[in-house]
Parts: sequence; structure tokens; C-alpha cells
Amino acid sequence: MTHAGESDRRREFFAGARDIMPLVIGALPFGILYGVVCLTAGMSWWAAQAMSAFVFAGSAQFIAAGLVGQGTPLPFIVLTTFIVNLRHALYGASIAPHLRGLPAAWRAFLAFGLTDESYATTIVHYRDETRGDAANKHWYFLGANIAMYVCWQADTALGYWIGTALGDPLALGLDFVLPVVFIAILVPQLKSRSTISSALVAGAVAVLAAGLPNKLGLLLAIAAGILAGVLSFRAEREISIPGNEISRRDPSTPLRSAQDAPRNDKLR
Amino acid sequence: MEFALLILGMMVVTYVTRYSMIVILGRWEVPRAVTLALTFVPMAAFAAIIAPEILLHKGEIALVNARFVAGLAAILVAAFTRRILLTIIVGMGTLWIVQAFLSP
Repeated sequence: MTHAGESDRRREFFAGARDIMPLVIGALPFGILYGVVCLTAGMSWWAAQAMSAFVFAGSAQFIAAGLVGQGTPLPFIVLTTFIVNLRHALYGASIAPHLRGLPAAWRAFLAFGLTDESYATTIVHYRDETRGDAANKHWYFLGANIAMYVCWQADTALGYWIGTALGDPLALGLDFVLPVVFIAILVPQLKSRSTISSALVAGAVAVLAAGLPNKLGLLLAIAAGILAGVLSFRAEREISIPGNEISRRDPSTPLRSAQDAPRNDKLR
Repeated sequence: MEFALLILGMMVVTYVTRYSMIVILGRWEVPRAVTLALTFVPMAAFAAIIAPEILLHKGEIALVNARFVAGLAAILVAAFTRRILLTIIVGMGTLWIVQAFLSP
């Protein structure tokens, strides 16, 4: 490769890392809280850090730590992780056409770093033909992924350390830290009738089904929450609330990507 | 809990969600019903973990309960201020205050 080609790659890489920064900073408090929650769930620092390093999926990590704290059997945590992370398949579907022609190793490696943040940053770059260097946009994706990854690891370590330093106050209500952190994350995301319905129904079913073995109630509750959210969203759209961009969409056009779906800003 | 096994399992299923479509797809439009359904998953999962934690005491619904009062306070603060740290401080603070009154 020529020298010019190399500098194009470098430019793309750092552009990706730079463009994802606002989202990386947005994720910072969640990374820190994740570290604290792991501590209260009885996970060692190694387990918390290894989960960030190998799983690298914010909300799934939170939910898994919560389930660990409640003594949920391992297969149910893994299954819940799968369900919570299914949205990545949508991101993959949306970005796949842009990755055609890349070596398999590149695609496999980029896939590992695919997060809400890197998807949101990268898809915009791919779709805008006036931006960047078309032949090297995978370096942009890589830069975004690596910036997010490195910061998420640091956030986790910092959060666990803060939790340890808070030792005494945490011990007084150790098992309550988790629900209260979850409330702090969830409630601000409930901005529409459909999201509120989804959360209320999921919560109610979880309480009613709490007696079922093996946390089966959790899966039932998630299913009921999805159903309530979808039904309520459809009803909302029929009365066509002004300002709701989805409601103005022609129902016959399919969503082009996960990006067009209602956004749950921080909750992923 | 066997954490190595848990993390391995989580890593595998998460990677499957990320990589599968990149490999399978040429060009395929995801049905909007699927997209819509998936947006509710994290919210439903969080709510499903929170509700039993604040409403149940030894398996029974108990409203005269420090955790329920503290949870309610946290929900109100989160709904009206949307501030994460403040929500956590009020939630934990309420728990400690109510516990101090409830316990002899």
C-alpha cells in the first residue's frame, strides 16, 4: 500500500474514535454503576471485568449481574442475555451490506465490537457518501469499536473501585443498591405510553409469577412486557400523536433499520 | 456460581447475535414488527427485575416495607428529575431512614 492509503486509514480510524466520544461519555456513568452493581451482587472484580471484556454488552451485563445477585440458575441468565442482545442482530442486518467484500476476519472482529453506540455512529458514516474514504470506512468502524471498548473496561474498573471505597454505606443496604440503580436507569426512559405500559406489565407479571421455579417468571414477564409495549404502540399510532415521528410513517413502508425504531437513548 | 462458565455462555450467545446477520445477509429488510418488539426487551427486563425486589417481602406482596417506600421515592425522583445520582441517593437515603423508624 502507498503512504497515502495508510494515512487515509489512520484518518478514518481516528475519525471513528472521535465521533463516538459523546456516546462513550454518555456510557460512562453506566459503566461505573455496573461496577458497583457487580460488587453488590457478590461478584469478584475479575468476574465483573471479564464480563465487560468478553461479553461487552451494557444492559445485558447489568441484567446478568442483577440475576447473579438473585441466585438465578446459569442457563436462565444466558438465555436472558441472548434475548436482551437480540437487537444486535438488527444492527448486524443493517450494517451487513456495507461490510460485504471485507475479509472474514475483519467482519468477525468488527462484529465483536458491535454495540448500540458503535452502530449508531458507524451506520451514519457508511450511509453518507460525501463523508470519509469509501474504501476505508471499516477503519472508521474499528476506531469507534476500540474507543468504546477501552473506555468501557476502564469504567468497569473505576465503578468496582468506587463500590469498594463506599464499602460501609453500601453494606447497610447492599441488596437494595441493585433495584435503586435499575430504577435510576429505567424510569427516565419511560417517555411514551407504550414504554410505560411495557414496563408496568412486565413488572406486574414478574411479581405475580415470582413463585415459579428457576426465574421462569422473568422470561414470562419480558414476553408480556413486549406484548404490552407493541399493542400500546399500535394503539398510540392509531390516534396519531403529533410529534411522534413513527406515527407519521406510512405503515406500509417497513423500517429500514433498528435506527428508525423508537429510541431508548441510554437504556440498551 | 461458576463465573467462567457464565461469562463464556454469555459471550457465545452475545457474539451470535452480533455476527449472525453480518454473515447471513446480503440484503434483507428486518420486519418492523420484530424491530418494534425488540426495542421493548431491555425496558421489560429491567422492570421485571425491579418490581419483585421492591414489592415482595418473603414471597408475599408487602406495601408496609422499607424497600417499597424507598423504591417509590426513587421512582418519583427519577420520573421528575431524570437524574441518576440523585435518584440513587434519595432511594438509599429513604431506605435507611424508613428502616431506622421501622426497626425497634
